Amino acid sequence: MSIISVRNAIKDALAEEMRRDDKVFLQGESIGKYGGCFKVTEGLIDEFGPRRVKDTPLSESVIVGSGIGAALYGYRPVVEIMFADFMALAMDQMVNNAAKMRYMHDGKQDLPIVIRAPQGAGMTMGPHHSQSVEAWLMNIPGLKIVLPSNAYDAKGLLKSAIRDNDPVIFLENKLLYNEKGEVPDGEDYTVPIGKAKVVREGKDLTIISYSHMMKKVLKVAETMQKQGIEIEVVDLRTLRPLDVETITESVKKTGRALIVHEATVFGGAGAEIATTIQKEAFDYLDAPIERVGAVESPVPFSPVLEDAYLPNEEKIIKAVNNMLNL
Amino acid sequence: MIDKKLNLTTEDYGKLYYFLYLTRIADEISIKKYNQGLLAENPHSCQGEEAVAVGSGYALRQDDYILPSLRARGYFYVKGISLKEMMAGMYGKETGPARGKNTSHHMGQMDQGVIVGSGVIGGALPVAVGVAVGIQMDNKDSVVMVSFGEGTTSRGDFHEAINLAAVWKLPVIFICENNRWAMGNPIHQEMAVDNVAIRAKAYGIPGVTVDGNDVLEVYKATVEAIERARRGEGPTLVECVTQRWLGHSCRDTETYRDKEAEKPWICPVKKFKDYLINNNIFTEEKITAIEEAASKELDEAIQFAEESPYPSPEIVATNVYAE
Repeated sequence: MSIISVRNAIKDALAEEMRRDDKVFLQGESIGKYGGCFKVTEGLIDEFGPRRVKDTPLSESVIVGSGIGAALYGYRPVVEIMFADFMALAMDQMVNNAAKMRYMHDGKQDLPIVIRAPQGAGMTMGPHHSQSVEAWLMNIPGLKIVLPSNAYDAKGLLKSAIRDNDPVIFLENKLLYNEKGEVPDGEDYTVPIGKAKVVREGKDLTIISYSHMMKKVLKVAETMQKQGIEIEVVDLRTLRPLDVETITESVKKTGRALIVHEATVFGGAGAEIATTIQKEAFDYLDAPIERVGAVESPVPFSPVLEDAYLPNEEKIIKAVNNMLNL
Repeated sequence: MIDKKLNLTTEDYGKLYYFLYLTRIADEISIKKYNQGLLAENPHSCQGEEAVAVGSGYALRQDDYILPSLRARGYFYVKGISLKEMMAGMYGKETGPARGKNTSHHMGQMDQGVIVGSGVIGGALPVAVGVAVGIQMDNKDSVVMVSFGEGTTSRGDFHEAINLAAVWKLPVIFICENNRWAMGNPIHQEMAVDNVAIRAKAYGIPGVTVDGNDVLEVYKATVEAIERARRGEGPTLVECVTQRWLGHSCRDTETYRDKEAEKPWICPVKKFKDYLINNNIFTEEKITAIEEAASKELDEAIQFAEESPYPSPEIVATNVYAE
């Protein structure tokens, strides 16, 4: 085992997959010598050269669109969008081309493309560099959406995404890049897409979360344990396809479900998860399902406002207490 | 007879005329069937514009790719896409593209060299460029042709795609079918330049304007662009100026245009037929024989489409993801 950052876990996954399969290549803005805005691809051009680590013009639509074309041709591109907010510029390619390509061929065409992007607030980057965009993408059959919360999962999930024959949106929380975790040395492991993980067992309440919020949720679980409250924590890891079984089993056991995500609550991923729980485990519920997310505003710039915007441990604990009538 | 300048044989001439004529009569019958309420798909007529797709598409090799625009049916025929499948697609039948999940407008299969298109005008250009990325990475000398109307050049995707192709010297042929109408917008409401080809200069690539009603002129300009792309010298923008005889689609009442002012129509099918006869390449009898063969293929395709079943509703959510 080595202790490495999420950034390096992602970089290692890219490098190992590129060594394993010469059809895998990267493209994005300043991902070569510059190393990418968050230095995720730093050094890869030295090993793989400009043929497989392509610096593109500032053109999000053609970064994704040409990746789709290369995937149609038989390559396995991993494209980087500098900030997930900029996916808005490539939305047509993602929604109308990537997601529909297999269906428009009635299954006779694979579309192995991974679209990576950092997202999330907490770095005072303002309204256009801080959003959490997963809910934009959830209502699109044909896309898979993956959001790792730690180094081990980031590496294993990215490898699965690259080997997947459907388009995968891989959303990396930028505050996680420096978070370190244990990753096996020299082992070619993968983490399956579409499988959630119970990362902490408990009997009183289930918190369902993903990505960077997992860190805050686990701290809350730790704090609450001192008060004798045992919280079960489910890390979804994938939003589409959603692991209904793991969510349902956990909620059936605890009778209470709280969904925590960084994105704003209205129309967010939590709504879909809550509906799923209500359908699958209604008779087991001892309290209404609750959601904690960001307040209903664009992501503000000033650190004071950004703190007020983001979900935090205090807001999560308040929701837990309400649900347990504490 | 061989045209040494164009490197075309009598057989080539016969095929070119066959495809031109087939494009015309397939268009006519589609409109008729639509007006009878038989088609699920709304035809977007290419009457008057046949020479663009046939002339440029005919210059492609088997291992080249085409991404046709909505109004460029000739590409399907020259690439050997089944007319039966295409017609069945217009009816929404199970034997159509993707068992009725896709339209015939945007049908395609990579192994036939036809890239699936997009109903979003311009959205397909980046995809076409990406296929050329794959070709370049494989060190092959295949090319990708992508066709679009002049209205598409107002889209950001046109800029992004042509710029990347130019910067990376990708083997792409951009064929602009300039029929001077973007649905109900005349060209002067779409751009402040006189022609589209002039825009190539801004990307550092060649741009040419040709008579889009002359199948041989389109063919010739395309061959030059293709040869350049095969040499690794990058993309070319070929603007083919033509006329849209009918409305944007079959739902267009055309109240916004003065057709008489746009006339005379130059018929690309008749123009080529006259050329063939005047140059003693074909006799009237030979021309008639070609037309009859095309009509026969079309009749069989229509019959196939009409006799085919509709898809089973049970397949609606299949093959969304790999299964």
